[in-house]
Amino acid sequence: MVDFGDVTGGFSWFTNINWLQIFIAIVIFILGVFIAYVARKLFYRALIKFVPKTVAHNTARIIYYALVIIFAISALGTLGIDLTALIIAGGIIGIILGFALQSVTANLVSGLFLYWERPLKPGDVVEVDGHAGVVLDISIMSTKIRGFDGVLIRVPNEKVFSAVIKNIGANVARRLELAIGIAYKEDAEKAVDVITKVVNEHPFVLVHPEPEVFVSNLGNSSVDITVRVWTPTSEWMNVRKDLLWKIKKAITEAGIEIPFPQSDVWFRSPLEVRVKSDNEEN
Amino acid sequence: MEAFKLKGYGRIGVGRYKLLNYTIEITDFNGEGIKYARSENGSILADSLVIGSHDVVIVPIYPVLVPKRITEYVLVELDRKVNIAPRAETGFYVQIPIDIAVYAYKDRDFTILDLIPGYNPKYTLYGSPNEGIIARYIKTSIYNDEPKPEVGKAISLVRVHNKTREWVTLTKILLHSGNLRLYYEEGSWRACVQELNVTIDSKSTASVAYGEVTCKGMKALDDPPSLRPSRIVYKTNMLWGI
Repeated sequence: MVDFGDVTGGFSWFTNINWLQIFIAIVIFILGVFIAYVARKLFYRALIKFVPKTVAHNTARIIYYALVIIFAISALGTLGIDLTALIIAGGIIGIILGFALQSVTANLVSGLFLYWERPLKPGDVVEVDGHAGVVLDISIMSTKIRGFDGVLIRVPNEKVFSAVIKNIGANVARRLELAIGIAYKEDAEKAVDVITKVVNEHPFVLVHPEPEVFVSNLGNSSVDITVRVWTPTSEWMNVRKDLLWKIKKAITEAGIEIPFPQSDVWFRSPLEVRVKSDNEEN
Repeated sequence: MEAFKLKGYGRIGVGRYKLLNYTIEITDFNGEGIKYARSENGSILADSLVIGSHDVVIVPIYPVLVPKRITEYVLVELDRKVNIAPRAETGFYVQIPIDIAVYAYKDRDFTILDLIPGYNPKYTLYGSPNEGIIARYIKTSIYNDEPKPEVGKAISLVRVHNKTREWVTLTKILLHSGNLRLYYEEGSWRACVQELNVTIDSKSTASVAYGEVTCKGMKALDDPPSLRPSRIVYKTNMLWGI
C-alpha cells in the first residue's frame, strides 16, 4: 500500500530555504546596482570636466561594474555561500591578469595622469620621446602625433608620461636664435647694423622682448654674430626661414663676406717649390 | 598709363593708382565688371576679377588681418612716459595702426577684394611668453590736438583717470579690435576710432573702456562679417603692466 502520509517529503528542500536571506540578498544586489548606477552617473559628470568624453565614459563604466561585482559578492555572502574559493580563484586570476596586462595597465594609468596633468593637448606642437610633430589625439592607451613629414606616430602613454616632453606650442611667443659668421677682414659693426635693420623690418620679429644682435664668438674661420629674436610661436618656422634668407641677402648686398672654413697649414721645414719651364718639360 | 597718387579713402574708378609702395590697377572687364590688381616693384601681390559691379572703395580696416591674422589685440606704446598724479585726469590724442581694405560693392552688399598692410606692421608681446598676448604694435606720439591724417594711422582721443592714491606712469594702452569702431572721411586719410577711457586701478593694472564716438561727420566703416563687433562692448583689462 502506498503511504500518502508524507506527501511533501520530496519538497523538503523547499521548506528548508531561508526566504528572508534570499530576500536580503536580492535587496542588497538591487540596492548595489542602483548605487553603482548613481555612482556611474556622478563619476561621469565629474570626470567629463577634466577628461575627454570617451575616457570619462569608460572610467564610469569600470566603476559601475566594480561596484556591481562587489555587491553581488556581498549578496552571495548573505546566502551563506562560501566565497573563499571564489576569492582565491579571483586572486589568482587577478595576479595572472596583472602580469599579462602590466603594460596595458601602465598605459591606462599613464593616460589618466596625462589627462589630469595636461602636459600636452591636441593641436600642440610637441617633441615626445624624440618624435616631433602635432598632437592629434590623446586616447586612454596612446598618444597620436602627426610628424612634420606627415607620418602618423603612435606613442604609448606609458612612454609619454615618463618622457621629457617639449611642448613647443604651449606659449604665445618663442625665441629664435641664428648664428651668422663673417670674415675676419670685414667690419663687424657694419654687419651688426645690417642685420639689425633686417631684423627690425620683419613684421613678425616682436618689438618686445627686444631683439639682440651681437658678436658672440671669435671662431676658427669667422667672427660669429648671434641673432636672438622673439616671434609669435605660430610664425616661428616661417620667421626662421625668412629671416635667414633676408640676412644672407642683406649681408651679401652690403659686400660682407660670409667665409667658408679655412685652415692654415705650416710646414716644419721650408718648402721647396720647383717650377718647370716649358723647355724642361719637353 | 601714369599712376595717380591716391589722396584718401573713398570710391575709385578704372585707372592706375599709387598707394604706399604699391600700384593699384583697375581695368574694365568686358563691360561686365572690373579687373583688380595690386603690385609692388612689378610683382603682382593681389589679383582678382569682379563681375557685376564697378564700385570699388578704399576704406580703413582693423589692424589685425594682415600680414596674417594672429591676434585680436593692438598695443599702443606712448613715445614718452605720462606721469599722472593721484586722482588726476588727463586727455590726449594718440595714433592707432590701421590697414587698408579694398571693398567691391553691389548696392549695400560688399566683399573684400584686397587687404593692404598699413604703416610698417609690427607685433609685440604684452606680458610674459607663457601668460601674455601677442598684439599689433605702434609707437605713437602724444598730441594735444588732432594730428594730421596719415595713411595707415587712425586717431583716438584718450582720457586717462588715475583712480589710485599714488603717482602712476602710463606708457602703453592695450586695445581689443573687436571693441573698436572705425570711421573715415572720404577724400582724405582721416580715420578715427571712438574715445578710449583708460582707468588706472593700480601701479601696474588698468582697464580700457570704449567710449563715445568723437569723430563727427565721418563715415562708419562697414565691418566685414568676421570682424563685426559684438553688441556688448567689453572693457580691455591691462594686467601685465601699464
